[in-house]
Amino acid sequence: METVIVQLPERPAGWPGAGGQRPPLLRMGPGESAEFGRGTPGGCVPIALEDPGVSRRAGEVTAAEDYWRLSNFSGSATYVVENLEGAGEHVKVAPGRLGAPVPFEFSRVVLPSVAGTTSFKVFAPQHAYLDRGPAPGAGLGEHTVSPFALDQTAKYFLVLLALCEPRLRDASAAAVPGVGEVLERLRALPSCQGLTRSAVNYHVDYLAEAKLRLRVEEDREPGAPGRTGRKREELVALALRFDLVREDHLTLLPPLRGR
Amino acid sequence: MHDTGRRPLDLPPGYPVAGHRITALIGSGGWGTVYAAEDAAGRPVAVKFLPPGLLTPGLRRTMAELVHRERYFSEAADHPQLIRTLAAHTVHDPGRPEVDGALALVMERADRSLQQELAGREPGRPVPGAGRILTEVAAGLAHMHGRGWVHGDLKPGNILLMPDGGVRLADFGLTAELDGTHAYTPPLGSPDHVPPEWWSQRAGAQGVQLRPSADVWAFGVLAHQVLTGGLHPFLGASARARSLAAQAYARGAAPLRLDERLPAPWRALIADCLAGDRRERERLDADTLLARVRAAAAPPTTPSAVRWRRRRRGRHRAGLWAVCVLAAATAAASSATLPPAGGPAPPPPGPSAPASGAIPAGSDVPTALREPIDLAARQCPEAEITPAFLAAMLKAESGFDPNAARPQSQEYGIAMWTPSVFNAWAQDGDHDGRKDYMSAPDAIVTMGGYVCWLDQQLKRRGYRTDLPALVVAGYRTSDKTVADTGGVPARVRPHVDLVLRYLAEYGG
Repeated sequence: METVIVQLPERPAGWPGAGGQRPPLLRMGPGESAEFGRGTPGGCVPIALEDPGVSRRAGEVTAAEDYWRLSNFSGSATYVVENLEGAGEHVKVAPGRLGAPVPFEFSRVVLPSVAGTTSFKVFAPQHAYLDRGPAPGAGLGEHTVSPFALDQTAKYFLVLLALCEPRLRDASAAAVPGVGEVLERLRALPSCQGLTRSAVNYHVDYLAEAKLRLRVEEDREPGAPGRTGRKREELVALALRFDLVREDHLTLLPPLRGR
Repeated sequence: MHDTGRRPLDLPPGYPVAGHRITALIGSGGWGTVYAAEDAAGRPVAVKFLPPGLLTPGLRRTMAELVHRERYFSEAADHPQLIRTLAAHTVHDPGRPEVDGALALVMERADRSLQQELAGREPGRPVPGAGRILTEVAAGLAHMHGRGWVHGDLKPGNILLMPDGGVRLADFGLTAELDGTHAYTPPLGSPDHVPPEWWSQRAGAQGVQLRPSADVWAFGVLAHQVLTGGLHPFLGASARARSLAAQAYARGAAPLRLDERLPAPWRALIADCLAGDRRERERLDADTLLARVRAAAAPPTTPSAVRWRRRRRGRHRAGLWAVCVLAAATAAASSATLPPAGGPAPPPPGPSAPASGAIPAGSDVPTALREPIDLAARQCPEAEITPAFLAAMLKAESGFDPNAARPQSQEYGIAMWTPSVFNAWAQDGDHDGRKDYMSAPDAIVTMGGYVCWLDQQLKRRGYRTDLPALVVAGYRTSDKTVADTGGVPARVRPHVDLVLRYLAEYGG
C-alpha cells in the first residue's frame, strides 16, 4: 500500500516535460525513504529541487506507518511543513532535526531558497479513522473494516458528499452533479469560498486515485469533454454502495435554499 | 458523531424462533447477533440473526448482499468442517421492529470460538490440540476451494470449537464463488487477517477482487496464532500497526520474523502462506496446504526429540521471567516437504534432507557459538539460511574469532560487521540489554537477520538457484551489487568459494 505520495516539484516552464502534464508522483510504502535536495554531482536524489539555494542533500522524507517523518540535513535552515487544509497550521523542523513526525494528510514542505522559498507537496492518503460504518459497535471479537479511510473534515469529503447528494436525497437515479454544480453547492461554505474548478477536479482525481482507488481507465486527454464524468459516476456508485457517505453527513453541506 | 440509530438486538429468554426457544445471548459480531437456543426436545442450537433493512440505501444493499451470501453458503455447505445450518427462517414480528424481517439461521451450537480459546491462553505456548485444529481448518478450506469458493474472512472469531473437540468454519458473509481466478466481494475484511495486497487493490462498484490466496494468507496468520498462544506474526500494538508492518514486509522493507519458538515444519509452512507476493502465494493451493499441515501436525517419530527447554533472560528484563523455547526435532523437519498429491509441484519449501543444515557434532564450530547460530537460523524461514551456512560464513569471515578486526576496511568482530551497517540491523542476541558487534551472540543473530533479508531480496529479484553463493556475495557487497552484476562479483568470488567449501565440510 502506498501510505505516502510525494508530488515532485513542477519544473519551470521551458524545461523538458514541463507544461500540460501532471506533475510526477513518488509513491512510498511503510519504511521507505526518499532524500530531497539539489543532488550530488555524481547522482541525483529522488526528490530533486532545482533551486541553487537548496543544499545538495537537504533532507529526507520517510514513510512511517501511515504518517511520514521529515529529516532536515541543513546546518542552518529551518524547514516548514504547512497543512494545506489547516488554515495556517504548520510544523517547524529545526536544522539537524531527524525524523520529525508530520501529522497532516496534505502538506507542503517549504525550504528557504535564493528566490525566496521552494517547496514540494506530500500526501498521506492512508490515515485511519475510527470506522463508524455499517458494523454495529457492541460485540465480541475484532471488527470488520473497510480499506477506505476518509477524513470527514477534509475538502475532498465535501466534494464527494456534494457529488452523492442528489442520490442520497432521492434514491431514484438522479444525475451525478458536474464540477460546476459541485462548486456552486460548496461555495456557500466559509471553508470553500476560495474553491476553484481545478481544485474540485483535483479532489475528484485524489479520491479516484488515492482514496477509493477506482478501477477506471485513466482518460488522460486534458480538457476533453466529460473527462471526469465517468470517474464521478464510479465514485458515487462506490461511495453509496459501501456506505462511505450517508444521509447524516448531509448536515455538513450548506442548507438547500429554494429548491 | 455517527450513530446508525440501530439498537442492539435484545430478545428475552423463551423468545420463539423457527420451532426453537432462545435461552441466552452468545455474542454480537460485526454483522449479526447470535443467541443460544434449544428445540422442543432440549437439543442445543445457535441462532444467528442477520438484521433487516437499515437506514441508508448503501447500507441496505451491502447488508442484503452479506445476508444473501451467508444464507446461500450456509445452506450449501456440506462438510464435517463447515458449520451446519439446520434451518433458515425470516422473522415476522411487527411488535419488535428491531427483529421484524431479520433472517434467523439455526445452526449447530459450538462450545466456543477459537478467538475465545486464544484469549485465555498464555502467549508463547501452542493452544492444546493445535495440530488437530489447524488440520481441520485446512481440511475445511481445501473443501471450500475445491468447490470454487473462497471463505474471505478466515480468522479465530470465525472458527468454532465444538463440544466433541471438532472444528468448524463459520461466517460466510464474505464468502464468494470464484469466476475464473477471482470473485468479487464487498470491500470489507478483518485487518489482522487480510493479505497485504488487500489494502491497495483497486475497487469497482461490484466490490474488490477476492482470491483463494487471501485465505492462504489468513491461514498463515491463524497458524502462527494457534501455535504461539495468540501471537500475531507481525508486530504492533494495534491491528492497524500490524497490517502496516505486513505491508512493509510485502514491499521488501523488512524481513519476515516469525516467532522463534515455532517448530521447523510449521515455520516453513507459515512462511510460504505468508509469501508477500500474491503470485508466489498462489503456488500453494489448498490441497497442498492440507497435506503439509497434516505432515507438520503428525507426531514426531522420536517423541523425546521435541522438548521444552528453559532459557534465562538477561537481568535487565522486568521480572526475570523465563521463556520456553521449543527445540524443534530436526527429524520432524523433513516431513514438512511432502510432495503434493497431484497437480503442479510447488517450489521446495525447505531443505530436502532432514540432517542438512545442522552443524555436525564433531566439527570445528566452537560449542559456545552453536546456540546463537542455531537461534539465528531458526529466526529465518528461508531454506538456505541454516546453522551450517551461518557457521561456514563465520569461519570464512573471522575464523570464529570474536575479537577479529580489520580497521582499514572498518570491519569488526566475529561476523566482520561494519559498525554503521550493524547498527541498522542490530539484535540483542545475548539479551544483556546492549547490541554490540563485538559480542559474538549479538553479531551472529544480527547476521542471521541480515542474510535472511538478503536471501528474501534476491528471491524477490527472481533468483532461484545458487542462493547460498549469492547471499554470501550480497553480505560482502550488497543485494543491489549482486543484482547489477547478475551473479557473484569477481572480486568476492574467492571468499564465496571459501564459504561454499566450508559449507560442504559441514554437510550443508
